[in-house]
Amino acid sequence: MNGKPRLLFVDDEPEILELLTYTFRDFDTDTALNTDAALEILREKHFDVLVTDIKMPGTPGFTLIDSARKLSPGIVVIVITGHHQEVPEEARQKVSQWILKPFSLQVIRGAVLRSLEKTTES
Amino acid sequence: MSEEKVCFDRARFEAVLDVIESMAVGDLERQIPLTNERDELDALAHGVNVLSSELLYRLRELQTAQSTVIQSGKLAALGEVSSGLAHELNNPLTIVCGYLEHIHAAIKTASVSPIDFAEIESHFQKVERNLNRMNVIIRHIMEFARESKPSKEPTMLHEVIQRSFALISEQLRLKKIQVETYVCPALIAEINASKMEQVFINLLSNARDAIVEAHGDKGGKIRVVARTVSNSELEIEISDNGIGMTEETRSKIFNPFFTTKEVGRGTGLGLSISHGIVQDHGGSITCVSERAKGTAFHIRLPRYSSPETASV
Repeated sequence: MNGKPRLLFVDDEPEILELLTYTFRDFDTDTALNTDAALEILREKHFDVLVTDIKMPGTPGFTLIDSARKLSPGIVVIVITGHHQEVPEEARQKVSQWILKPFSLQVIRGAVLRSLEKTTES
Repeated sequence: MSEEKVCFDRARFEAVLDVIESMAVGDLERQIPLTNERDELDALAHGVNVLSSELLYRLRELQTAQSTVIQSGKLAALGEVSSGLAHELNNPLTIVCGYLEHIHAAIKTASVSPIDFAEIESHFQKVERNLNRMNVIIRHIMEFARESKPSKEPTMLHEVIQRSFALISEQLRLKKIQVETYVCPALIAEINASKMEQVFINLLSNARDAIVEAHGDKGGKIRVVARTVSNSELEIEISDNGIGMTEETRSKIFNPFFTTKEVGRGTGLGLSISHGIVQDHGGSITCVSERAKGTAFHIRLPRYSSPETASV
């Protein structure tokens, strides 16, 4: 990995994006408010980790996850969601962590750091 | 920066954080002890205490309401509201907990890196803003959950319609559903506001489901028009460009437990309750629908005429 790890945060709540950007201010971060905006950024740059909500206006988060894995092979996907639901079977393979809102920043930082360690090991 | 300015009391701050973290996992019984300092931290602790007692009180009220709701048939509307409530509260709660964690981290490392007070101030503002946001949501729920008086009162119709939209606007936004309302601000009806709110929420959520079934995530349009139709009656029309119904379905919609929704999605009670409520108001509710075009409900209610107007 060259330079700082690159993270992309996607959520329809601007203040959540602001909080995540501040929390990961020692990383290279980008944000998007919906799937379409996120895909535009993913087409231009490579990311190591995608942290995304699932329920957003417009194209659902699951579509984003599939496209992100094609555009940025090896990208780690972490889902943040306010909907307490069973993790869908098809998502288990594609998502490294499924974090429920409200989450603690230690949990999300831990999840990102662990996933990055795994990426560098492999 | 003088040493006196670094006045955060770590133990007190940790007590606040601890209680908020307990709130995040559902323990609302704890309260933060206040000091005589009457500083920002005490104000914050007080705010959190009030919020958690309010939440606890409303949660209990909701639980009690839930147990009696099945009988009164309020379940359909309550289910909508509670899932919306959980979703609405999760984002601000994440933001509140997040910035408190940052403030906590700044205090813990104050001996090695000086506290940036402007930054802490901005964190506190975000905490405060989001606590207020949660308060607004809870206030809406309070208005909805309040035991409705059997009596009817002259009520501004547009306010009732606005409150009904407020409770499901987030869901409509997520589904890209546009809303057009043409409600004369001067329309007054003699109604039980919370009961009529229940009717509107039911019709609006049915309209949302019909639009999603027809257009998926492409969205659609809900139109609400309220007007005077005669000296004695006013009419509220709620229409959508959703999937619509066959004549056979349309003829059964007001029957209790009739539903076209999949198991677990609809109780089949919403429209029969709405029908009962409108009838209790001396009004009527009718429906026209066309498959693949959309549906329109018309509610007619007696107009309110003030005693002075009546005597003229």
